Amino acid sequence: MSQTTCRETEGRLDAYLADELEGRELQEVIEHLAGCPACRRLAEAQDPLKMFVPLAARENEGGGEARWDGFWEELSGRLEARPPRTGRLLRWPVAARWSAAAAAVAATILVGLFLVQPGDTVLPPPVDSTAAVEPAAEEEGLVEGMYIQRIAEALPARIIERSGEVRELRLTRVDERENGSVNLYRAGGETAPVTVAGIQEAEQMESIIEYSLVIGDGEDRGEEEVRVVSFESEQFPFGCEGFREGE
Amino acid sequence: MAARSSLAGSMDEREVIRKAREGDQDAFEELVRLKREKVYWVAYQVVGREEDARDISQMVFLRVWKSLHRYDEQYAFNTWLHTITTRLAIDFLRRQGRKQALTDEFDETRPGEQAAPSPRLPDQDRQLEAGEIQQVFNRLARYLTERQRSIFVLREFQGLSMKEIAAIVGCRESTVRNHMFQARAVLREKLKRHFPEYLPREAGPEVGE
Repeated sequence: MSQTTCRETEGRLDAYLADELEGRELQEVIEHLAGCPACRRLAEAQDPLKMFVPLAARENEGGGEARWDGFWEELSGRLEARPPRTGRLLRWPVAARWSAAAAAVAATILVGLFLVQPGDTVLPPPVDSTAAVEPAAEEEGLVEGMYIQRIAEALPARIIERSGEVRELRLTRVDERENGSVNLYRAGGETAPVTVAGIQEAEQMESIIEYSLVIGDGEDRGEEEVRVVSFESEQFPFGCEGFREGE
Repeated sequence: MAARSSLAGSMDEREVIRKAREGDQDAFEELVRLKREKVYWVAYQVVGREEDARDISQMVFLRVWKSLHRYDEQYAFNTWLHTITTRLAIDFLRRQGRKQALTDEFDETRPGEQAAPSPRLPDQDRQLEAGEIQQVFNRLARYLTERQRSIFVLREFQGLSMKEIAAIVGCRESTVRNHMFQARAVLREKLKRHFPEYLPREAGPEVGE
């Protein structure tokens, strides 16, 4: 059980309730309160929410073995099933790289590039600006082809059929606004073309939580509603390393 | 299993992580075994459903396997793990939220998890079961945004510092404090309204502000 005594905990209680404890002290108090109803009652008298502290100990309660039945088997199966990072897509001729559905959606893609960082500062993309503005047509086709193809592969076909045109590709991270997220990279519907450097730059920030594709008519139904597809990056492991290797 | 026990016996956590990082699947299996309860329970407290927490745990470990080469050993492994878990759980809730907005109200009658706790008055001296406390928390936490809920869980249950939480959810410390404040205010208000029988008796309904 807890190493910390009731006396030590009582001595820290005021600081704990004022949310001023950090580090080991905080963790020791939580651990003690989770296992000591008497001390917890003292804390609860000041803040009723401390009734929830025992939930902190649930990860140690044991008895959840059944939950893990088959977990590793399932996981290891998925590890082995991961696609190689250098995709066969990269060696296909441009036209053949796109499936019919992907070609249909790719044709509607206009490309734009925004890089937004915490604090809502909108910065110009920190990439070679000439390349960002005027990429070789073939490079643009390559990048679009690869990404749209991979998205199309990951998407259930029925969503593509039902949803009409693709409006936007985004790489997103959580931001500090209430329900918000920051687009590290956004392509579609605006002015500048997709570039490898722009996507790489975004991916290097390592905090991407979502790759999303906007499909359909954003103006009529609102952007949030049409943002019907999102992927965690490990489920949808496209990356620029693969692209470089493929080149 | 022989491989598992020999790994557990001979390797400390850092070594397990190092080996897994080099692509050793036995070491990775051991790492999963060491961390799965933590990952599962953080995910569970954020999303509130057992099967979803298990699915998220799968995604977390897939991500860990894929990204281990980027893990910098000078940082705490648990913080890194919390970052992945929390972000995937938040992302999961956002997608759920979009789906639910299109369909119906939150399913309240999931057996064993979302069902309302029994309305009987808890005896002040009775020690509440974790399961009962969990049900009350699950009911009330629905009123929080995914961000508020995650921050509350990381602070109140994992005991992480404001600085760590800020890094995990990707915002400033002041913003984390603000979310914490909001989360607590909402939970206190909803606790008082929906489960007054759980308020400490001698404290009365006004305490806790």
